[in-house]
Amino acid sequence: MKERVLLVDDEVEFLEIMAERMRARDMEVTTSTSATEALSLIAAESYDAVIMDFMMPEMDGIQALKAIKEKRPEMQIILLTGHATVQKGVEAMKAGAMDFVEKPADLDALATKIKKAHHQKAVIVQKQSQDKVIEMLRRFGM
Amino acid sequence: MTEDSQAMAFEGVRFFGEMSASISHEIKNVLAIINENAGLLQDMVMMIEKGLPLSPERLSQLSQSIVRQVKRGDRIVKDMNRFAHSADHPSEAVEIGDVIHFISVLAARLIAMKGEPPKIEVSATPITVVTNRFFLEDLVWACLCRAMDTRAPDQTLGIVAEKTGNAPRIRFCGLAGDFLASEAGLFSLQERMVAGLLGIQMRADKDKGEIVLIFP
Repeated sequence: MKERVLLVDDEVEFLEIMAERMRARDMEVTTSTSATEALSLIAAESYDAVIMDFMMPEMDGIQALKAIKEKRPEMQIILLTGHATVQKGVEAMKAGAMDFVEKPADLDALATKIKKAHHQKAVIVQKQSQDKVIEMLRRFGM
Repeated sequence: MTEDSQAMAFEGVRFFGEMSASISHEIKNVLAIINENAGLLQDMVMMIEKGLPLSPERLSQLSQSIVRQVKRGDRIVKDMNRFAHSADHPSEAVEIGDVIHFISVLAARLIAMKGEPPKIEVSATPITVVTNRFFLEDLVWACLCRAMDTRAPDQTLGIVAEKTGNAPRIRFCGLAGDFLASEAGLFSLQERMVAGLLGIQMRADKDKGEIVLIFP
């Protein structure tokens, strides 16, 4: 099954080329140039991984990350940044990021993280389904 | 070193650091695009090795993208160099409109993160003052930040460089009057010290929704 990725960055050329390279690696990629648009896409579609720039207009990466996690906790988020400091990394992880990658990124290393995101999301979704079944059984006194 | 001059030195380094961090982020974005282009070229080489056809048009697009990014990187580095040299002289002839345009280009990403960029209006006749360029850039940036943080929701933020009588001034317009309670609360101690060093009066006009810098 193809990994579904949402790539968010206000640098259009970066977005287009990276998306082309990801598609060549058999991933299903949607692109967005703003966090606001990304939040609308997330409300309508499910993605295994959201790869998002840390510093964007309108909403910064941490704000967007928190908003996504609130709507879709199962989605795995990888933040891209120009400068990966320990402080930023800790802040991102505390807010629920799966990983934190410095630009320029190595796509093969990123692809490995996306596969991991796909697996982690599947585990969370399975757990959510199990919890729903258990809840239903409880309601029926079983 | 007196406490005042030490505070000024800290403020100068802080401003230089803030601009440098923003510039380096822009350079990283340029490098990231060149890196993706190189990666795509490598992917294409692998396609050729597998016997898949390669489009000369696609190759040309990649080459153009690299050229564009190199030009962008060159412009960023030139601006960075110009900024570094703005601290060369304690006092020099400075064109106010040029400083406003330069700061808006230098801090374009930081501005974009705070919303719509301001509309800049400068007098057709150059307005030249003799001042410290570096600290004037610092003060313009500080006021622009205040203006962006206190912008009125229904108005366009504007920066106007003009001369009234003999006094050059810069107005930051389109601000929400409620936030402009008093100059003392609006500007930080460092900003007031910078204005003091340059002999510039800072005024917050609640009725007009403006911050005004009045040159001596």
